[in-house]
Amino acid sequence: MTHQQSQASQGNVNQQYLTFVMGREEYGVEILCVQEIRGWQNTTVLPNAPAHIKGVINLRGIIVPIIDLRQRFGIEELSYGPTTVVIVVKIAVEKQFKVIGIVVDAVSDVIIVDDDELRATPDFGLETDIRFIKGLTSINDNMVILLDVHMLLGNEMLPSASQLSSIINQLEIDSSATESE
Amino acid sequence: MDIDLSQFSQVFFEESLEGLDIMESELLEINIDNLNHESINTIFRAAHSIKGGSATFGFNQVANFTHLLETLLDDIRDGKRQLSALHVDMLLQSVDILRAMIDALMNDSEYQSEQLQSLSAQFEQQLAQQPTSEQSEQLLEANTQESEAQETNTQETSTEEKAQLDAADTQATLWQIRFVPGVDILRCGNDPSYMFTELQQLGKYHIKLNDVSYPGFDDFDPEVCSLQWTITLLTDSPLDRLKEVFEWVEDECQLDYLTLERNPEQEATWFSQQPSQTAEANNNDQATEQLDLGATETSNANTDGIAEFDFSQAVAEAFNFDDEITSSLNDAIEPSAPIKEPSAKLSKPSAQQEQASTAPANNSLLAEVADLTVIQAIDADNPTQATSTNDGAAKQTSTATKQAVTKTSESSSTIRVGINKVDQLINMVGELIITQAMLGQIGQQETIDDDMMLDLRMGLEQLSNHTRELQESVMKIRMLPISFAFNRFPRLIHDISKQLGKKVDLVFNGEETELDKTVMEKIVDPLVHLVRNALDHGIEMPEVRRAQGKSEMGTISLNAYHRGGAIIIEIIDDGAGLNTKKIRAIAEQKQLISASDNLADDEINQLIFHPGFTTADEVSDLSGRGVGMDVVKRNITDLNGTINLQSQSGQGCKITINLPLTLAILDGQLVRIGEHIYVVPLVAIHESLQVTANQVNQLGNNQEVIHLREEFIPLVRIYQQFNHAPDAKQPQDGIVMIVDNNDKKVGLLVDELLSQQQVVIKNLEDNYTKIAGVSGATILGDGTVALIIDVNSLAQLAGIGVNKDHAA
Repeated sequence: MTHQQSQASQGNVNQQYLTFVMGREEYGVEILCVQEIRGWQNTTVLPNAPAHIKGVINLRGIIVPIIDLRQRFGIEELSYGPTTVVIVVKIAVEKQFKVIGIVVDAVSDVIIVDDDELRATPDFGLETDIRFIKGLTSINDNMVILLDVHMLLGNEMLPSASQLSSIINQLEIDSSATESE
Repeated sequence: MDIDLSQFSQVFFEESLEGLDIMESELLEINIDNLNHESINTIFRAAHSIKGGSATFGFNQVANFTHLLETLLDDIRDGKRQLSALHVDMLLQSVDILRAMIDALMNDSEYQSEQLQSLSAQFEQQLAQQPTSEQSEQLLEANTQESEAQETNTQETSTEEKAQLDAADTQATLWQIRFVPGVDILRCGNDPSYMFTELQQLGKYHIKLNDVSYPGFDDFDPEVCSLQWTITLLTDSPLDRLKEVFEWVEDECQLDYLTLERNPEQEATWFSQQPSQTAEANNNDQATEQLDLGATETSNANTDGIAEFDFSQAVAEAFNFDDEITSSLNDAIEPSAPIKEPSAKLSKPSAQQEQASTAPANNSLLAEVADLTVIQAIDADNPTQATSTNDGAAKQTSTATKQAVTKTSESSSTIRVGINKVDQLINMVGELIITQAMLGQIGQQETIDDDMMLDLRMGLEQLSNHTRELQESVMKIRMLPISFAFNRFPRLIHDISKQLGKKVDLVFNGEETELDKTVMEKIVDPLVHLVRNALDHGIEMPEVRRAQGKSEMGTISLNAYHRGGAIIIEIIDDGAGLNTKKIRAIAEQKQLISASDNLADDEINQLIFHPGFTTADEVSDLSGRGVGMDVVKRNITDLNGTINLQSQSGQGCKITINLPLTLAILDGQLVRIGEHIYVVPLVAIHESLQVTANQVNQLGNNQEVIHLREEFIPLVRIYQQFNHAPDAKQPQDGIVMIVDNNDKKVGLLVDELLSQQQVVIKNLEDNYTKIAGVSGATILGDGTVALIIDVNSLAQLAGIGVNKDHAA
């Protein structure tokens, strides 16, 4: 059953996600958080900021910080190319909205995922914090990692850079295992 | 009818706070011996609207409490009670309590305070006391008390008064008033029950609901009044007084006044069951009993025998549970026509929301069901109040032990803007559109000749003018007169001077001077501190002043005026001034200065702003005049302002605060460090210069100083602190800006100075977090973002000024 069909049959417990590619993985964020998608533009560098904070841009009079998700996740850096895009998301942090841009390789699709199609992230133990991963789903046999942007950007509680790539590796092993069942 | 009222509650909070401000200022102006009725009316109106608003929104605690105030004020307004100093004091206290209540409501928390209980009790006690009034009023009270002998009323009913009552009755006239209101009377916001209440106070009264032309239930419209009444009133008030009651609705209804022959028998049936209303309706504790009392008496009182109906109870229940209305009607009116289901319009009456309109609606409903004579139709109004009071009382007791939870919710603040400012904006926008049309027309041409080029230039010039004016107008919206900050001072002075036994006159000058709202909010606390200091430590006791040949009445002046792009606020007192000797002694003791330093008095006085000068022990030595002065100074410096102090021993003290008009715009110097552009606030810059290598000396660990004209100024290499790649790694290759850092100088190394320009400050913390060394961001002409350097925090980042001084 494809996802479009499942949406038609199920109705209201599904949510739309904007998916994007980074490296070999596909990620998704809730589409309702997405304010706009922009091309890469040069930023103003912030002093003493962590490497993944690329700086701030002027978005129609609002100062918006730009976060490189690759660097955040500890995936090897790529130089910004023509398909490099910035997804501007709006999240509520302590009753206030924050607008933050995330740099990704390319935007791919909008998918609809039923809540019951969401698979919980396997627990890797105490060392890795996976709270910013809302769940996993698969589309055409490809795993999509659905991110919880509120957790990801609202708090400074991300796992250290190197951990995520190992999480993803483990996730892949795990998801291929479940699919073969 | 289910409206979400919470969206309006913000407006209510603001209006209430404004009302409280008005009450407070009027109360402070009141001269008990020479009472100005207008000010009592103003206070009453403010209290009344707060009560009305709070009841509408279901803030029962506020409503109940204001009800007490209102009752007292009403008595005073009507001359039934003499305003005493105690009353003024109680009312001022209640203003504070109400403020706290509203603050609590704004934060979604519960207000609990012993003060509330004790003050309410005090009000009730006051209200229970016999007002000094005309005889008839007393008689009414006496009558009232007769029917509630079991009440805990402090008053004793004397038989003498009852005798007087009978005597008064014989002189009274029996009036019959036919009152046929127009169908629209309810729509105009008039509620007949209020008039009945007022009539009721004039004497003995009996009300009869007449036959009505009533539509079917399905066509029922609660806003249409199809009822009419006949009121029989035994009173000694003249006709004019009766007419006064209906003054508001005169044009919307038909009124006939008739005098009737006295008929003792008839009177007995009419008036014997008169439930008492006046006194205990005002009393929260007695609300329940009143409900019962009213209920029994109304049901007994029905002489026509058509239907016995527990009206007040039914209404009270209807307000609580919509489904109960049917049952209570069933119980009450057995012999009458079948009752339809309550229509949608009546389905959800809620005590909080629709008091005024549902009460008559219920009234009408009953009228349809049976031809009903209702004695005390007025009860329709009072039980509602009683119910809500009960709720409130229950809530109060249930949460009495619970600690008030302090929640800090970010409520969006709003500004009230004068309509003229908005008009100006609209006007400017209109002009802008005209200019845009003109430019658009030129833009559509294929080619542009010289004439059109001229037009184009003119158009562009217009555009830039309009944009600038528009910017100014928009900035003005944020500007509020400084009286918003000054208005709290009369109360402060009133309270503190009373407490200290000092006599002080407070003088304002230039209260209308406008200031940015954000600046205003941040300047209030320092101002309060300074004024309190002036009063506490500046102004002497009356006898001391007399001994010094000064008038007993001290003066504190608050002046505000504009100078250049800044606002100047002066706090001047004519008190003792600072004790310069003592300050010097303490400063020497704290080794801030050495005994050999030759300092002018003014320079010494400035030391009170020094952080650390204010720890507990020294304060008392210094007659306290330095408490938190460093905090005051820091707050003002944070606003890019300055504070200055001039004191003359025995003559008084003058504190001058200089503040920028707005926090939104800043004059900045653009500087370049490598490829990065930063903005340095122009006010902070003393000078910019190129230094030679031998002017720069190493001082201990990693700290450099510049030797400049006998001064050693610490140097901060910004590129090091900010981790940037600069052009000039050495001070002699770049430019050093000497900037102000908390009254000390700091040198900043930059690569190049660019232009000076006004920049609009944008908040970085909105979407990101605070960055050390940076106060905000701005957008440059090319659309890129530049960060604004915060000198103080940059110096701290570099380890300058992080010592004992800053521990405070």
